Amino acid sequence: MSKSLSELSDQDLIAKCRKDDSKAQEMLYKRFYGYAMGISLRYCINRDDALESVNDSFIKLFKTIKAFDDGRLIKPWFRQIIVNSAIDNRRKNLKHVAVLDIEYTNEVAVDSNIISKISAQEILELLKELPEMHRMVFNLYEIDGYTHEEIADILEMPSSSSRVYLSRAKEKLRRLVKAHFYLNYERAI
Amino acid sequence: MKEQFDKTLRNHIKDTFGSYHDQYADDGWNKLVNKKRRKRRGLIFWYTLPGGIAAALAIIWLYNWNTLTNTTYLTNKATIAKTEIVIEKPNKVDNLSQIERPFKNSNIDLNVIAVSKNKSKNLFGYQSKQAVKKTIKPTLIEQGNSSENQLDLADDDRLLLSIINNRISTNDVNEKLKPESKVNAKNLILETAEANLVNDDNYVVRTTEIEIPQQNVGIGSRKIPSKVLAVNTPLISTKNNLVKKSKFNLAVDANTYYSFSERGVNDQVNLGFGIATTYKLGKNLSLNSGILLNQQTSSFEGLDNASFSNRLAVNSAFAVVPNAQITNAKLVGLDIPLNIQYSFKMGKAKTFITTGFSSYSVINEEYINDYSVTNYFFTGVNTSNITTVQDNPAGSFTYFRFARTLNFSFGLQYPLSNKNSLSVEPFVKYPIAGFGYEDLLIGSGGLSLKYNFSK
Repeated sequence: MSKSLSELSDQDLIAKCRKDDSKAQEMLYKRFYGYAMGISLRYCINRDDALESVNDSFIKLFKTIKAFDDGRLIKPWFRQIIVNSAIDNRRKNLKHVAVLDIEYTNEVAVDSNIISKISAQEILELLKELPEMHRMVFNLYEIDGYTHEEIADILEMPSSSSRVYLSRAKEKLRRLVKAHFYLNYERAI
Repeated sequence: MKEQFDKTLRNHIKDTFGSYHDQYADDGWNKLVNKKRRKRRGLIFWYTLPGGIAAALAIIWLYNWNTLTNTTYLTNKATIAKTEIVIEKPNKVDNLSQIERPFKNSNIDLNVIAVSKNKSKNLFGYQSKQAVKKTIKPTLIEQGNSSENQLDLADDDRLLLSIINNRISTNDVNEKLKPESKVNAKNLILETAEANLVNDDNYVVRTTEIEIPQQNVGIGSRKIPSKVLAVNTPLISTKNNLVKKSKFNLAVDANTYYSFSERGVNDQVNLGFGIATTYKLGKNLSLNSGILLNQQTSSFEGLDNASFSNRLAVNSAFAVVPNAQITNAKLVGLDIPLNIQYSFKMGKAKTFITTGFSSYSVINEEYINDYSVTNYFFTGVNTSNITTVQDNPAGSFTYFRFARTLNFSFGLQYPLSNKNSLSVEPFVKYPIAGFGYEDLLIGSGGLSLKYNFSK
């Protein structure tokens, strides 16, 4: 008895996608959509851009899936595609990006327990408040594990700039978390 | 302290987005499908564009080539036209010099040189009357040998008919005659003279080659004797002996087109073929109709009226919710257009614009619905795809709908021969009312190729 598509493993779906089975492609898309959006949303300004970037990633995935080595895991490979698409999307929309800086406040010690209570949507709001390059470098280095040299290549800038942007991004995030959550937390207590 | 905070924040972000759930996967998939369609459509456009340009260039080249060929053809025809017909029934040759005299003088008006008959006598002295009677043909008098022939044959009984209207400048009849001014083409171009020319008498039709510049070939108003008309060339016959054309014309029509609806353009190329008819209303105006078998396709998303029955069926199952649906509709039907065409000459080709409306009768229709269904009945959420096919329950040929689309087109009709022509016609059919079981508003746009059984 043949399995339904939803019951198929990732490898089986990939095998079907290699034969240009549109149903299998749809199933693979729906299976990895959340994962892709989770990455793309961190890089893109808004949801529409993130979705466009995700769809570009899937188009690349379906195009190159025939060359995909079965011995590898699909997620890290796909993550790379998504990040690249997000950066391409950023380049495309560069002229629309308004670089916003935040006001510096006095450094305040933040309770790290507050952090675990921050939702995905709130994290996205925080990241949106970072200047675009800071957000990029933070995502690439801290979350996706790229080195400063790799980031320098991707974003076409010196690696020293990447270090500076990262440092500033982290500093700003601390302040933002404090401003948005710590005070509310204190009030709640 | 700072490092601890940064590490905690980083790990939290990783965890949160590592298991990120988004409910809009179906929406995203539909957008991806649309994006792929747009890309494919763009590719089709870029693939067909060079083909279209090549076709257009080929048509232009064909048009120019034919125009040039036609010019050469007319020039050649004019060159071998004749200046003189000598229809004679000679017995004597002693008066030839008198007959020849007019030609030997310069600038002599040769409207009608001589018409005389003598119903007696044999021709040439040795040729019987019966033998000549049915085999008379025009004799092209070559330079250098014509005068001798004439000397042998001329007589006062000679029936000499010259059909040159205007003055001809010549010093010798054996030389090529060159008209100084406009020459009446009706009277000049004489190539054949089959048996109709003579009934009872023996005649010889003599012709002399002349060169007639094309600009000098005009249509004159002078009356031509009936006997001369009988030896007119086919060229003149087609130009002047106008045959009354039929008002009703027939054509075979084949067309390729894309269908579109309010939801966008369907990326499937459709084909249609049939018979087109034309009824001439006036010089430039005609009424076009016909019957064409064609296919219309439409693809649309969402749970709309096209899937109403299916939606009910799916919803009847507990906790089963259709999330998204794509319906592919395919309608095969008869297109019966009624168009008014205004045409005008553009060189050898004819350009036309057409407008009107089309009525439809759907022969066969099929709706393929692709659902994405989420089943909340099981523990967890199970999403699966369902495909259903829906036909017209009322059967075939059930729906005839009057005036479903507004038609606009323009095109070029190019004559292939005296009887046939080919027309290329880009068209748009804009939907004004729905048709088919689901009452879909479908229009189309494409290219029609017609082979007309008329010029």
